[in-house]
Amino acid sequence: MTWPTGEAMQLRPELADKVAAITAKSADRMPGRLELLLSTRVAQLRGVTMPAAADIAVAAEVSRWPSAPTITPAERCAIDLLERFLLDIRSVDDTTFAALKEHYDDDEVAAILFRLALLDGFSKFNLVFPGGEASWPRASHQ
Amino acid sequence: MATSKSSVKTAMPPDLAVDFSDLYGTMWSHGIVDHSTKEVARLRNARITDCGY
Repeated sequence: MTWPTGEAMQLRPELADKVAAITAKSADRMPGRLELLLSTRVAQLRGVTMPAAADIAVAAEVSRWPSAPTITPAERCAIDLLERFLLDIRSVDDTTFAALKEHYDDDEVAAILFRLALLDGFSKFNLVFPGGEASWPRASHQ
Repeated sequence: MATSKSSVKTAMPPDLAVDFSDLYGTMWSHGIVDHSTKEVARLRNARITDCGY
């Protein structure tokens, strides 16, 4: 998924390179295949275009992440954080962090949170920006 | 907000913090929206999200 839209960034060229760089760098920090899983889940929740790397199998896997056997406990924990982050930020609590820290070190947790902030913000940006993806059908939440 | 900040000892990754500050500074110093309007939006965002900034 490319966030934000190229059209939007053409209006603010002084921001475009900086946004692209910070987006790419934060994505590179994700452990394993987490970037693909997180960006796919954000796309599903927001009803926007899937990441280019997400095939049908990955999308199906992510859509049933709580029970999918191919989703590892660490990945499940990160996706749980994502859902809380996007849908109910006040539900992110000590229990959430305790679970995360069973799988990720402090630097990784910080990187994941930073990545979620960008995914959350720019997916919203894309939905409301004229010519963005607001007309895309919203994915069903599972 | 019940979010635990004490359980994670690292804040924003340092190099990303630098990049973010650069981006944030550009957002504030450039563009056609006047500074006071940006500040109103920032304050309202902080109020809605219970952010101390």
